[in-house]
Formats: sequence, structure tokens, C-alpha cells
Amino acid sequence: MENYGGPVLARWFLKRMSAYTERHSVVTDFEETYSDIRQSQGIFKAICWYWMNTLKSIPEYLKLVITWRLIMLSNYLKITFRNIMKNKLFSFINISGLAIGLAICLIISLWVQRELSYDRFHKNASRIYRVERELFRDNLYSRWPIGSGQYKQLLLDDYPEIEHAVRFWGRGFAIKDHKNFVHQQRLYAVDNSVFEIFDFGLEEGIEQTALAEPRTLVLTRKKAIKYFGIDDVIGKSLSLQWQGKPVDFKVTGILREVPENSHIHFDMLMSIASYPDEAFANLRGNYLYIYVLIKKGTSRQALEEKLKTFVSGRLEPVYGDLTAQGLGIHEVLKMHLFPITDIHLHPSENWELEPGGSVNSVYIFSTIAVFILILACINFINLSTARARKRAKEVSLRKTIGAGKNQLRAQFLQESAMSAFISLVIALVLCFLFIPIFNQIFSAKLSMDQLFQLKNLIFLLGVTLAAGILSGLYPAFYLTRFDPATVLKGSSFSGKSQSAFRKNMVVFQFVISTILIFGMFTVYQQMRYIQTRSLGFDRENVVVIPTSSRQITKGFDSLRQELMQNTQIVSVSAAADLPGDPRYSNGAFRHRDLEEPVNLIFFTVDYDYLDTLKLEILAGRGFSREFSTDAGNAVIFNEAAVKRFGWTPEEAVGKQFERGEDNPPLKVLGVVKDFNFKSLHTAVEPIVIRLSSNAGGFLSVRIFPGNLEKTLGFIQQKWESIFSGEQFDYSFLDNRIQQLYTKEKNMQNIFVAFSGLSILVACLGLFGLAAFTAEIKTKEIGVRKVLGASSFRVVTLLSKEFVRWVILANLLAWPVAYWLMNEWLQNFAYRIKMGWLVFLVSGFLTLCIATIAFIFQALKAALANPVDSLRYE
Amino acid sequence: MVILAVKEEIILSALLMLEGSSSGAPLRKKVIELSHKEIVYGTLYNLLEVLIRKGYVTSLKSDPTPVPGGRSKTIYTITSAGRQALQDTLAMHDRIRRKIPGFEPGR
Repeated sequence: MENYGGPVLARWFLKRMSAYTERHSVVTDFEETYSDIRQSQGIFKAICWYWMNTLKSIPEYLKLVITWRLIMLSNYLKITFRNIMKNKLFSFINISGLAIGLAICLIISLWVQRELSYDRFHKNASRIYRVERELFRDNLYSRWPIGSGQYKQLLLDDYPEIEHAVRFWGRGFAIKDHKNFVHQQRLYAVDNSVFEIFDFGLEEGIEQTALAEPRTLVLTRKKAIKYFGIDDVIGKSLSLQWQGKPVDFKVTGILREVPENSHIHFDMLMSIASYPDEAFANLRGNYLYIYVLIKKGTSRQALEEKLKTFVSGRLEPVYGDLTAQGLGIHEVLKMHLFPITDIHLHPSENWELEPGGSVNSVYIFSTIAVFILILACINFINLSTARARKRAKEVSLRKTIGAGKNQLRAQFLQESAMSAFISLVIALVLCFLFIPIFNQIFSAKLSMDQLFQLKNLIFLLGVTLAAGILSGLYPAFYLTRFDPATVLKGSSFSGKSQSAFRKNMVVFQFVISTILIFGMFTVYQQMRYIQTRSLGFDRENVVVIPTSSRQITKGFDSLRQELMQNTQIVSVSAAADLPGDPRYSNGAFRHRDLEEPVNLIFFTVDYDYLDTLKLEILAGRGFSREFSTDAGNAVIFNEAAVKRFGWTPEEAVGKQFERGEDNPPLKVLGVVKDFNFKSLHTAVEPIVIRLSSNAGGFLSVRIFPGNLEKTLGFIQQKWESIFSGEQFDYSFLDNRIQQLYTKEKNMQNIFVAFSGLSILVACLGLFGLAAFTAEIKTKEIGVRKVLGASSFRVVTLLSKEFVRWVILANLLAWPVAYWLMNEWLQNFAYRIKMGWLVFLVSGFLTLCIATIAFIFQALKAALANPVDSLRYE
Repeated sequence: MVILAVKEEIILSALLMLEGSSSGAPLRKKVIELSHKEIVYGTLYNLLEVLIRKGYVTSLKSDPTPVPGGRSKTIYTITSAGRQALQDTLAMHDRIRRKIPGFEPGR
């Protein structure tokens, strides 16, 4: 063996540079020069030279490789582009399908991101918690995000782990602007620590002291302009209607706008120090929200565990009645630290600040997005393999002139990645068009700006690349497997396994589409059921006007009498509690016949309430002005409450509840039929209706239908003449109840929109496949027609397969869809039964839609003149 | 008319000086001799790749040396297009030198 020598390791490096060893004789050349140098300058110099030159050649080699790659890439791009142009229909289906998939995926991920981003803009977000309590009474569970104003100081005193605490007390005030106009303004009284805990912050003013003093307030620039006409307002004072008289508050700062993705919104804050300490004297009060910032390194679980001492030490003395049933206080009352970042997706049913989102819809949305993307990828795979026949020749030719398998695979992957990127561009355009529509339908607030954040762009490119590569993977491996000799010889290779794969894919697409149609149909039925089901009261034609108890005491009676003059008005009542308004409190009722007390939800109402809502009385009677004893001593139960006590409605009437020595016993006056005062998600809970003549909250007016504007105008006029300067802000009871189902309404829209789109994508694929099948069978059809087959028979022949696929897909989808929708319906205490109709409808719909997709191609093939088809090729 | 880049010109000139064809090692030696500068094999090969693609040089693997385990060498040969291009380039150099006072050829 020839041996010129040289360092072995360096030679190993040289041999790795395959282009140099293949096209040049790198090792031989190196060794020749090496032996030259060794002879003239010695072995040490020679080895140095060898190494230096090897290492210096590496960057040169990389340069060469990259140059070649670029040359190859431009070639592939050219081929890709030609392929796209050659098969316009297929390319259109491919690219538009993927574009729709990507666009949906994009919009949904923006939405999901937004939902998850709530309250994360605070620097300390992970350490901020809302102090909440959970109450477990035998039959009623309730979550209390609110508490007493005393908690703050007690928590700070008892637990050094808590760095800061802040109270939010929301109240409405009448404020006079610079034009002497009176506005109702909701503002929060807060501690100054709000600026230490949250990042809401001031644009102007000193955060450390802004709200430390009594009678100070901060407001946003917009509000400043509204109330002062100018925005240079620091140091000026604003007059608030404070407990009946105007009081001046000093403006100490300009508040930054609260970001959209916050669970709490405000445009004005005042110092809670404006209230005297006595305002917070009641430790059992429930009226304000408390947030705490816990120290770094404190674990939430550990602190919650320690809070048990708060429950037993501080709360038990005032909540003594809770343990009367023989339960330990910890079994009945729990303190929780609720992470603020979770509030939006897990809002409290009771006393929540603002309507929140829902985790379920985040999950459902994401799943649907992934499914639609999968559908689009399947289209791509199907059509690419279907086209394999056409590409096979190209592949074989490339193979014969020396292209390696890996090179060919890379080519296909590049091709599909490129199609994916074209789709991405179209998807971005689609997003741009659809985001406003999406925002409108789902009352979301998405914007394109959100899209152009670095992480979103990376995500976008990642998803596109993944979709491109995944959908190119199968064709890449499938197409490079052929034996070039067979293909070039011209024999066809329709291969059974290949069509089986495509069939599975199409069936899978239709399974998903069927599930979505099924879902859409069920949600629609359930929604209609909710909207039309009798709730036990008449929700139509009731005008609701929020009032305060001060207004009620001031002039409710005269207002009622004035209103009743109008023949269009049926009845007028005031109440603290209305169906559909999720602010219910509860309490225990103990009867001497029973050992266990029963917890009932309180409904505090005025006379005529039962008539106004048209509640049905099963036994006894409603409150009446004619019996003076009704006031304060009489209550009305609902059926559920009566059942809890184990009585029939008739037995219940006249039962008495002792209330200690000083008070006369409470008497049950009557029993009303159950009515759904909460959403239909929950079964009717036991309630007790109490009479209170100064029940502030809502004024409800039942009117006759028709002439709405005139009646409303009349009410407003009377309202303003009696409560001059107070805001008249009416709504309708049925609308308020509708709002309980916003999430479901959104869900319905989602299902309609996305099942439509997914079917569109699936049909695009089917359309492409049908076109392809028709093309392959051109000859067969021609021969059949020449031999006397009718066009109808040809259509049947072509459609048979597709129909079978769709039916199979339906059979597979039904159990899954049934199970999923059944789970969803479990959210409702009152729900529809899924009958056979929904199966039939979803099956029929998918079949119809699929037929439309392929019938056109089948007809085209069947009606073609056999002379043309047989001359083909 | 084609004007070569300086490095290409040097390689083609070196090849011509080696009677039109050579293997890598003598070529490299000649190039260093002409340019008074070290050249790494990698650079040399890359330049040769360019020249091959442009059609000025062809490469051919020679028969293995007649010993057991003998290796073949790549032999680079200048083509007629290469000769023409070199001629044109050198002619341009001449023209330039004739026009610049103090740079005339033959000095």
C-alpha cells in the first residue's frame, strides 16, 4: 500500500469533505505536498502544514457546499412553481385548504393567548391573590370573593408572609361635572397599597401617597376631561354626592387606562381612608374585595394552611351559627388565596366583578383549531399521493440520473414547505379580513398587532413549517420508494395500499366534520330549549331599573302610584334580588320539628313582586298591603324549600319559625312554584322570599306589550320628576336573562362557524380526489359508455365509493359525538334528550355536502363524449 | 470577450505553464510560485470548481498508480475556452499597461 504518511486524525477530517474526495483527490494531493515539505523542511514543519491546511480548508469546504445547496434550491423552487402552475386546481385546493386551516389556527391561538394573558401584565402577578372564602352548608355551596373591610389589617397583623394588602370597595356616586351635569359614576375606594401590589399605576402624581389621605381621588385622563373639561387637574377638587351632601375630593393623580385583559376595570379610584373606621366595624360584612401580595418564596398552600387559624381565631367568634349543626368550623368555612391570573377563566358564580371567560371554551377552541389544521394537512397528503402517478415519472428520471433518495425527499419536503408558506401569506390576508368578523361574533378584542409579536411570529413560522413538513413527509417517502425501471417502462402502479391510505384519511376528515355538525346541532337544540323553556315566571315585558335603597325610601311609593296611573303599566315592584342577577346570599332556617336547620337563599322583595314576575302561588297567598302583619313577619317559600323541610305546600303554609325572645316568629305565608332564578345550568335551589319595604336594588315594572317607546318615555319622565338628577338606566328582564347564556351563545356561534369551515376544507379535499378519480377512470368510462352504459350508471359507479366512505365516517363519528355532547349537556340541570333525529340530520347533512363536492366531477366525467375520452393519451 | 478574475487567471496561467494539465499538488506549487502567496487546498478546489462550471477546465480521475492499493489522482486540464479567456485577459493587461505612463510592458 502506498503510504505518504501525514497525521492520521487530520486525514480523517479531510476524508469527511466528501465533495473534495469525490471530485478532487484531496488526500493524495495533501500527502504529495506533505512529503515534499518533509524532505525539504523536516517532519515537524510538514505536520504543522498538514494540520493548518486541513483546518483552513474546512471553511472553504462549507462555502462550497452552501453554494451548491443554493443552486439546488433554486432548481427545486423552479420545479415547485412549475408544478403549482401546471395543476392549478390541485394547487388551489391544496393551498387554500391549508390557508384556511392556518388562518383558523392563527385566530384561535390569538384568542387563546388573550384569554390566558389575563392579569399577567402585573410585575408581581404570580404573587397576587384574592382572598376568598368558601362556605359549605349542608345543601348549599357558595364561593365568596368578597369580605369585610377588617380582613386587611387582621391579615397583615397575623401573617408576616403577606407583604401588602389592598381593599377594593365598589360604589356608585353622583358626580357633578364642569357644566353642572350630574353623572352616575362607579368607583372603587382602595388603599394606597394598590400601587405597590398592582401595576395599574399613575401617569401623573405620586404613587406613594396619592390615595393615602382621606378625600383624595385619582382618575383617568378621559374622565378628567369629562368632569373638568381639561386634563391638567392635579390639585383641583371634584364634588361627589357623599351620603346625601356634596363633598369635595382632591384629585391627586392621573390614572393609567386599565388594560383590556384585566379582570377588574375602573377609571376612578378614591382613598378608602375617606370612610371612617366605623364603616368597617362589622367583621361579618361582605362587601369588598381584598387582594394580597405575598412575599417571595412563600408557598400558597402553606399560607392557606396557616389561614385556618384566621378562620378559627378571627372568624369563628362572629360565625358561631355556622357550627351550630355540630360541624367543625373548618368543614364549613374555608379561606382561599385565589391567584389573580386564574380569576378570568375561573370566575366566581356569585359576586364576581366582571363576567369572566371559560376554560372549557379555551379547550374546545384549541381542539377545533388543531382538528381543522389536521384536516387541511390531510388534504395536502391525499392530493399529493393522488398525484403521485404524475410525479412518479419525474422522480424516476431524477433517480436514473443520479439523485439520491435523501435528495429527493428533501425536494418534496421543500416543495410542501413552500406551498405551506404560500398558504401562510394567504392565511395572513384571511386573518386580516376575518379578525373584525370574529371580534363581532364572539365579542372578542383581537387585533393584528398582537400577531406581529416576536413569539407569535416564531409560533407562526413553526406551525407553518411543521404543517408543511408533516404533510410533505408521507408523499416524500411514498414517492421515492418506486423502482424507476418499472415506472419508466410505463406500467401503471395504482397500488391497493395507497388508495386504502387515502380512504382512511377521507374517512377521518368526515368523522371530524360529522362530530362538529352533530355538536352544532345539539348546541342549537339546547340553546333553543333554554330560550323557550318556561322558567316559572314571565320574563317578557318587564323593565328593570337599578335603584339604591336611598331612592326607594325617598320616593318609591309616590313613583309607584304615579306609574300605576298609566294603563300601559301592569304592576310595579322593587326588589333586592332578581332572577338572573348572580348576587344571592343565604342563611340557615331552623324549625322545631326538625333537627337539622335548612339553608335557604334569600330573596328580598317588596309588595307586588310576585305579580310583577307572574310567579305562580301553589298554596297560601302572596304579600299584601292589606295585612299589616305581613311586614317583617311573613315569608314565602318555594317548592324546593318546602321539599327540603319535608312538607307539602299545603302543610307548609302557616308554619312558624322562632327567632329568639325579642322577635315574633316568622310565619310562612305561601308557597310559590319553583322558578329558575339562576341559569338553567343549576337546578332550582330552595329560596325564601322576604318582604322589605326598602329593598334597594332593582325597580321592576311590568308593562303591556306594544307602544314600548311611549311607555318607557312615561316611566323616564316620572322617574326624573321624582328622583331628579338620578340616572335612568333601564334594561329588560329577558335580555338580562339572555346574558346568563353568553358563553353558550358563543359556543353555538363557534360550532356553526368552525363546523362550516371544517366541512369546507374536507369537501375541498373530496372535490380534489373526485376530480382525480374521474381523471384516472376516463378511459374506463369511455369504454363503458361505448358498450352502452347510461350516464346515470357511470355517476353511480363513481359515487359509490365516496358514499360508502361518508357513511362509514358517520358510523364512526356518532358514538364519539354522542359521548362528547352528552358530557357537555351535563353542564345543564335542564337539558334536551338527544334523539335519533340528530343522528339522522348529521348523517344526512354530511352526505349531502359530500355529494355536492363530488357529483360535479362525476357528472362531468359521465357526460363527456366517449370519443374524446378514448382518444386521450 | 471574457475577463477572468485575478485568481482564476493565475490558476489558468499555472496550468498552461504545466503544459496544460496537472494534478493538484504541482498546480498548487506553481500557483504559489506565481503569486508569492500561500494557498490552501480548499480555496484551490473551490476556484477549480468555478472554472469547471464555467467550462475553462475539465477534471479527470487518472488511473490508479500501478502499485497495490495505489490511488488515483484528479488531473485538471485547461480547455480551449480557458485558453481563449486567458488570452483575452492577458491582452487586456497589455492594453492597460501600454496606456499608463511608467507601466509600459518590457520595463
